[in-house]
Amino acid sequence: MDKTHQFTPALSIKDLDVDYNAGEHPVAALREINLDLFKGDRIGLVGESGCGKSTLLKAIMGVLPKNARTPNGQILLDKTDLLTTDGETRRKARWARISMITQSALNALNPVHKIGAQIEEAILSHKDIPKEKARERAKELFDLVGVSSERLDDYPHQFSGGMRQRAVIAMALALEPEIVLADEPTTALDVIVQDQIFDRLYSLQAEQGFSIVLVTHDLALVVESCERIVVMYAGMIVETGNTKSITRTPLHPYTAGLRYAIPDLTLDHDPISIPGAPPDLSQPFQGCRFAPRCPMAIDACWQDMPSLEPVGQAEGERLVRCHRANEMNDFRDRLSQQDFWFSETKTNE
Amino acid sequence: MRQFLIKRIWHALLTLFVMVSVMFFMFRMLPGDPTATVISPALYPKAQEALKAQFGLDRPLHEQYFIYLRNLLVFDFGISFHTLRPVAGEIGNRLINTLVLILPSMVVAYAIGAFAGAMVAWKRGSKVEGFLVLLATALQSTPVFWLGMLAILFFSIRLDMFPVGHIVSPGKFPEANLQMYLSLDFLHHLALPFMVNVAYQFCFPFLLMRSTMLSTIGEDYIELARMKGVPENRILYHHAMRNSMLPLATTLPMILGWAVAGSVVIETVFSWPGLGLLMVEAVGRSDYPVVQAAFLLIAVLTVGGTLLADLMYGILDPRITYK
Amino acid sequence: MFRTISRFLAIIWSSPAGRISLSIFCLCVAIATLGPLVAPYGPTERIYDEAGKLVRLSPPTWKHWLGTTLLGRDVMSQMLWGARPALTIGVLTALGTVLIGVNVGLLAGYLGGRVDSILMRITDIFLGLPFLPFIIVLLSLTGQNIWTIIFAMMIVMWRSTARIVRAEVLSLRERQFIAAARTTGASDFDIIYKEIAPNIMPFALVGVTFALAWAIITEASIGFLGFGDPNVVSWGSIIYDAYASQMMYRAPWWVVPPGIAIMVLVTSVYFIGRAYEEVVNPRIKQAG
Repeated sequence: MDKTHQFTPALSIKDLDVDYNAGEHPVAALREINLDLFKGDRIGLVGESGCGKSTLLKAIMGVLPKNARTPNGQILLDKTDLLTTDGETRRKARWARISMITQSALNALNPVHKIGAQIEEAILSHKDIPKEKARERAKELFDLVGVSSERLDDYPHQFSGGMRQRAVIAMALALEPEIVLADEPTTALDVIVQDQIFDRLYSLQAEQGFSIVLVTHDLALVVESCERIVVMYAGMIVETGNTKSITRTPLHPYTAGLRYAIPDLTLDHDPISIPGAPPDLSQPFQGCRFAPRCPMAIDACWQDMPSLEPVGQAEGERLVRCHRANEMNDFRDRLSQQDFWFSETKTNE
Repeated sequence: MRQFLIKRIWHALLTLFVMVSVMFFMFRMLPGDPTATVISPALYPKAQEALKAQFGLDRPLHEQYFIYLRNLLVFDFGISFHTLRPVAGEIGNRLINTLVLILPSMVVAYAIGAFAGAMVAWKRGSKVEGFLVLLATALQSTPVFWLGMLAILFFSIRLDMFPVGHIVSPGKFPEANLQMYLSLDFLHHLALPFMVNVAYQFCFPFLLMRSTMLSTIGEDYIELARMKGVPENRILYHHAMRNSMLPLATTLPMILGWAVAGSVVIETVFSWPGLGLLMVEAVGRSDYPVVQAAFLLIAVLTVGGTLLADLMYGILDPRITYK
Repeated sequence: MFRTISRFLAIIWSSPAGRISLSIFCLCVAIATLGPLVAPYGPTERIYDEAGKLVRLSPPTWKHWLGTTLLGRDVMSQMLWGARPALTIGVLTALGTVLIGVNVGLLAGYLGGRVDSILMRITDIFLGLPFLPFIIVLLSLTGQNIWTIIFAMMIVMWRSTARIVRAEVLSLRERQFIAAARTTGASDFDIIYKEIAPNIMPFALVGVTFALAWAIITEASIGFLGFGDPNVVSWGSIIYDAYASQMMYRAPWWVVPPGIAIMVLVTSVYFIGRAYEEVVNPRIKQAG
């Protein structure tokens, strides 16, 4: 990857594992996460809910719940490991360098404080400046995201859903961070507002040059805007690559499932849906986590966890975690048919 | 805001009006001579006749009712059977005595309870938490008069630290005045009932604050504040505790009501000459005018407390729109 | 009904605090039922020694484990007799309270509109009533026996259950299965009592436990203020007798046991209610 980008990554996650202690077995929430993020990047992180996206975000932001453990791995911001550094350094790095646009703007804003005050709070927690200066900055930010700065003294419930989301974006940009994590930033909004918000966010990115990790269950959203895609399943990365090649030639059956779930006029059949649900991670499991839902699973899939490996024949730089990645060309058509996903007979050649 | 205020005040007045009416008819429904609940049988017959005319007791019930209401509006509660003097004159001091005992102890109990509840929830799972929850529940389950008796037994009888009861030493202040309420003697008498009431009243805010905090801590905006890099102390006070105060405020009217109503018990144990003790004594002597007056004042305090807490809630929670 | 209650017990039994509390509560029930049978003396029996002298204010001895009262009564026996009225009055009051509260809440919540606003106005008025003073006034007018005490407590206690139930009914009313029942032409009565009421049961049970705790304490307070049934010995009235005799500070053995008994019983009832509420009310559970 260092060849395509001249710089060292802004954020680098290395071999990260996260466990939750709950009940008898620890939940293997994340396994072997490796991810490099470069300045100005726009990465899409995709997977169904329960696949570990939120855990990864929490780990990066340093707000994992108390019962979480990180037995392995590093989250490097420059050369500092956010997992091992002291609390104060971590607190200062948060938001000033990595900020986040949260999923539900309504719940994320404190209902009893004015929105302006909540933005100022983010600034004042990091900068030793007078209140008036913070206020000015908040005004600037509201201008940036397209909300009248007269409304800084409103309470969250007085804002519409779209305005709240803009306010949360303003808050995320308050300290000119290098990285912005966007966690399903527009799920609660209608399509038109959704487009407006993304337009605004991306033009701000072009101006300010921060990197974005867009986290969503909706592959279509990522396809429209991101350069690279990371697909997660059951706490692991199952496929990465640039957007074009992933949409054209998905190499993991799960990616294929997500891909063919997008309504596509060029295909002559209806969008599919992947049957079943993500696995319960507290249950120990031997093979590929996707095997129980996979129409292509063979014996090997039930026994060994495949590793994330480059696949030579594919276009661009691709990593995939599948025993049968090399045979995908033969299966892709069938994977786009809903019937195939329901086929009981596993193709055990 | 203005409309909301008017509506709430109107509701409070309506509540009081209904209570007054129910009281009036309840006492008139008693078997026997209805005037017996208004005019002391101990008076001379002539004086009785005069009072009957004054209170309109020789007239039909509904007219009596209007006369009664009219009298209430000018704070004329009738004549005490016991002292044969106007009730209004005797009841003012009693009201003050109840307030000086209940209000400060409520404020302190609420402050301690809410703060302790918030802290143990914030440091979830500590041994202190388990102990305090058990202690608060046990205190809440203890009859407060018994708690008072134990306190007297221990602090007054065994240790001889505080007087056994009453508001001041007998004969020291013939007249209840400001000087009395500022005297050390008064404070010395106040200490024990005050502490017992604090111990009793602290339970509810403690338990409620704890459970509210526990759910507040899981809210998204707490996590966002943490992600924003807001220092932990500020998250605790400015976000978690600030938001958790709302349910405490909604239940405040109920609690104020309980506290005032509960004064009956605590005043009895400590022979504290407040409204509650007055009422109990008056019931015992069948001094009905005093019973009614004391009850009404307690009701006014309860309803007034409700009103106050409602308004406070509106200030604390910006989402409440005054409709 | 039977299933709800067995589920109620199962939930309580599943937490350690609930298990201990339930055991204590059952012990108290056992004392209430069997106590009078095993009590060595009657509750108002005066005890004389061999010399024919009244055994007044005897401290605890082997013969009188908890000592005797000013009138020479055995405190231990009084304790055993006194559990029954405390529990009977408490349980009957709690059941009656919840019965009224649930019905008012159901009607107000389901019928809505005029009925709702009138019922809620009435509830608000009752919420403004000073609790104990009202009961005392009522008792002074009606006379004092077990039934008037239960009646007086019920009249002021149903108010909180009514509010909780109404709020719950309001949200249930919009659910699909209610709408479905309505389209099949079920009568309002059927919908209220066959469709909605079973869903209210958990709240009613929580209401019963908290009302029980309140009722036991209130009964004791009434007894202490001297408005209890003069013919019945209950834990509250033992404390009252000690207080009224002015001897309580000389005879701790007389005052301490009934207070502790009330405290332990009510604490266990509170913990039972809370153990159940934590499971029924997911908001609290999530946080815990």
